[in-house]
Amino acid sequence: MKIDPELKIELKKTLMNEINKKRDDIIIESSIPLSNEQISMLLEKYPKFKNKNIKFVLNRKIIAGIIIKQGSTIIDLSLLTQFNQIKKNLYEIT
Amino acid sequence: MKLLDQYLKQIEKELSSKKVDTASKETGSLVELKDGIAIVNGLDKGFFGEIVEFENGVQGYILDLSEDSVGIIVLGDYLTLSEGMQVKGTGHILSIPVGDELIGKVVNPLSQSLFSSQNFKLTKNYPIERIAPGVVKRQSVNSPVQTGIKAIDALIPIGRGQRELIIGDRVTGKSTIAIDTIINQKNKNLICIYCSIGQKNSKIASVINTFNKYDAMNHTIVVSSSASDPVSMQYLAPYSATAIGEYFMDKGNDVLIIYDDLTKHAWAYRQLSLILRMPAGREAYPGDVFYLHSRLLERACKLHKNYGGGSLTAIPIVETLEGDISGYIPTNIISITDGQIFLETELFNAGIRPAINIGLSVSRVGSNAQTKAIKQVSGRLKLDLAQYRELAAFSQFESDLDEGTKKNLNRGAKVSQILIQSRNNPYTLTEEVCLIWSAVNGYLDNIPLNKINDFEMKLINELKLSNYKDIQKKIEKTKELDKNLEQLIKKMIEKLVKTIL
Repeated sequence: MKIDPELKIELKKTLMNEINKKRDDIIIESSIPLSNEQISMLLEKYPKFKNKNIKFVLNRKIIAGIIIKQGSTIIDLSLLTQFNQIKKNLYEIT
Repeated sequence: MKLLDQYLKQIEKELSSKKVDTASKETGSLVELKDGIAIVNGLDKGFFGEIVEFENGVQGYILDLSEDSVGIIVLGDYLTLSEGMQVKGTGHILSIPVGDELIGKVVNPLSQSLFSSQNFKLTKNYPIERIAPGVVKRQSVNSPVQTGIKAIDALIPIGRGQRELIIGDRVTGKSTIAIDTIINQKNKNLICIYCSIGQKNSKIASVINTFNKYDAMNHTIVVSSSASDPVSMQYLAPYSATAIGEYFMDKGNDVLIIYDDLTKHAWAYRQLSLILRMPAGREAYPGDVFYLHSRLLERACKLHKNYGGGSLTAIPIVETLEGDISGYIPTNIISITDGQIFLETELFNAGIRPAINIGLSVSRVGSNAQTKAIKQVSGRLKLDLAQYRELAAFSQFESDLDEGTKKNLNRGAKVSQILIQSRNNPYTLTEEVCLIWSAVNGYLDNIPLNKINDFEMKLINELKLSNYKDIQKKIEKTKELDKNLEQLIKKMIEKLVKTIL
């Protein structure tokens, strides 16, 4: 089946838009569900997150704190990472 | 118990100084792992040469950027990595710690000591890849690297800041020339770096032993990546050796780097690029294999006085197959360097060691890089040898030769004989000057070939005696031959020749 070239361009455009939108989506991982108050505090701290799709994910493994992901960038504020960091530093000292 | 307290204190300090990192970081996830290379999805804003860190603390180095994934060289044990691991960008370009403490050490390409007994802390960092100094910062090469090898110092001089290739088949004494040069640099104000790329561990060990035996380790750094190291390390080794060299050069020191050898470096890069699926070209090397070596060797230079006046001399070694210097990698490197020393198997087997083919060897810096004393005596030498080579092949068919030809042949044979020298036995400037002077001025013509060696030994002993200490002193000081000095040398040699005959 042949697709009309014009249609093809349109289709490509919409698909690209979809992908870009998804890339802009923000995922926030936390060990316990965040309260509304906490979420508003977060938005205050990071104003660029406003008007964006935010997805909340529960992840017990990170122990405490949150991890914010957007596309390929990450802000890691979890306790697990800090523990790992300490583990590494201790190894270097001894 | 005291040690434990110390540890606890350090840990306390470490913990109190740590702050929570709130900066956003580039990440990706590992999707593929092959022979020292990791393919990672994500890392959208990663750049070429950036250091990345895997979840378990292993570091990597971005070498290849494709549309939606990056190729990363793993610096460390790649077998500890697993699929799906998080990879974080650090935003730093790959650099290694450098410092004066490195002198006398044996390190890997990341400037970590290979001996646990060698502890040192380095504070300064130098990038592994650096753009070579531009035209403004450079100066023409004007002072020599005394190799202590008569044939090289007289005929193919190497200057400080020059790039001179050593090329030849296997077992023709390529490394030996390089090692002898390093041994000769004791108290000569030249820091040597021996960079081994993809060699057998046993060979590296014997090289280090030789350095120790001749007391050469005090001015030498060995950067080692053996055949059992991952290819990524072999690929990095010459660049990090150059980074260490640049540190000393920027301080105003003179540095000599030996790359032993660049053929294996090209192989390592070929393996990396084939794993990364870069398009393969001639002999399956990637398209940028020329740039691989040109950007490395271009970093050798002589800095202008206003910029510290340091220099970095590069001596790459390349191995040929069956004496074929028209191979891909040899021709590339010949065209990059400022000259080559060509070693031949036939000469080596004929007992002419170092087996330098003088016809094919050149130094494009020329006699600017020679001390005046050597320049004064070596002018005739080249002519004598050139005539000898022409006649030698021709005279094999002719039995009765005229007097002039016979004389030329005799002179050539003696001159060739005097240029022979055993390994790990570098000559001082004075010894070189006196020996070549006697050859060029025809004092050896009457000595039979098998006694030339005796003459050499006697001359060297004589120079050490108090009668002729002046010669040594004067040549070392002025580096020039004046009439009085020449008379003195003449007197000494005439006396010596008589004792031999």
